[in-house]
Amino acid sequence: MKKRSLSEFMCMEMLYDYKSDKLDALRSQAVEECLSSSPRVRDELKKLTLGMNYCEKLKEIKVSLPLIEAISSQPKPTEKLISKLGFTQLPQPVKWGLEAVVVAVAIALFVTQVPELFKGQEDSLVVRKIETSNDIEVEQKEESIDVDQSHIAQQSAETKVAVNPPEAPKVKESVLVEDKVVKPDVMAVATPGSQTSAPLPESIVVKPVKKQGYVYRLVMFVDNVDEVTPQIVQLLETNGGKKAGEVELGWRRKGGSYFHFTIPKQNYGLVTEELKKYSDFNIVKSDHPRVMPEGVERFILWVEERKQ
Amino acid sequence: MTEAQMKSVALFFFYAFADKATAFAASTEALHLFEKKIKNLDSNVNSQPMLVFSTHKIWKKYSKKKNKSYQPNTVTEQGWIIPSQLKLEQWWQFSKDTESIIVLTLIWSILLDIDEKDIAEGLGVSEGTVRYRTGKALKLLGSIQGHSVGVNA
Repeated sequence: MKKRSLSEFMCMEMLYDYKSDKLDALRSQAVEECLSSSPRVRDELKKLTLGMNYCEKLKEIKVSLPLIEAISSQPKPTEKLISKLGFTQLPQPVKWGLEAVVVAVAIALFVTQVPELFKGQEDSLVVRKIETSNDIEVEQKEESIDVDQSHIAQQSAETKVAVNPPEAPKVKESVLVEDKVVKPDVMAVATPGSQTSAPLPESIVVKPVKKQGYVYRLVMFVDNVDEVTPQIVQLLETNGGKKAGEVELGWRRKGGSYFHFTIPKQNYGLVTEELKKYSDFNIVKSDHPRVMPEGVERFILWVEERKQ
Repeated sequence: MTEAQMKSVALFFFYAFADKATAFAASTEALHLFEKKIKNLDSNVNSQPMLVFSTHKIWKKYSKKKNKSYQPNTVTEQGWIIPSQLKLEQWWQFSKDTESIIVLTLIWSILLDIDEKDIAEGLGVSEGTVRYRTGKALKLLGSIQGHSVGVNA
């Protein structure tokens, strides 16, 4: 194996370790080789040695014992403050007086500030009571809107308009646009001819409808799976079909082939028509956790050998 | 806290600040901080990283208010015993020209002989960083020393 020598830069970086004997034998040898060949590295080592020698001289500076004693006897900041105030030197009656003042101030602060703290809580209680009374008033309106919500929940993500029943005249419309719901009270103001009324509380706002993904499931029975499988694969691929799961299109399993794929929506009709050439089948639309982007459909096709 | 650690703190601030009165004030404060930090530590636990941490923290505080005038006195003036043949000009030049953390690492590592592992722990850096800084500091100090030797020659 060819021996690799250290670069000049690496060697210079290792000089301190080399000088303090912290390199292993191989590295030391490499540094020594570098030192013999490079004047720059030698120069660096010279500087390092000079610095170390100077440090040895600096280490001769000593600290006197009186200085250590002076440092250790220095009072702490809190002790300094107390000694500055001279509290301990004050006459006893003055000390008592000062203590009494501190206690009196503490009590006064407690008495004046604590009710303020509770006052804030009382105010919030009053507000809550008012809200509760409002809730009773709007209870009937909420009922009507709940009906509307359940209606909206069944709708797809497309833009739809749900008209409220006549029992809730203040809330005329609630609009669902791409999962964003406009608050009914806003619509009530925006709709011409609607009665002007106090805005409804936040609890009435219709929550966005969560999109539900779906998949088309197909099962086909054919006479020769091995022959049909590559043909279906080709059909799908020519119509923009792409594998959607972990396995490739036409994955052979015991008794059949498995196709989990996506195709553009516009090719849906064409592909299903072509598949009908092999066998009749039913398409079942079922829920799926994955929501597909607009214009793409997801399929799971199982092609099974027809039993004789 | 041992006497050696107290000496280390006093020396650290002497090397770090040119002014003895500042060094004295900073040493006092650093020792108080150090004492507070090791108060709850077990006696078997190595307190050197805490010494590095305390000195670094107080150094940062005092390096910001260098202009504040501290009253020099006899104790501070005679507290650090400097050999007569030792010239400190190069050291002050080095301290002035070099990045502070490199100077401080050199003080802890070479001048106070604190273990690199403890320095690294106290500063919250790797041992490699400490070694790199020490090496760099020595080279810079050596170049200043070499230059002054060259000029004098």
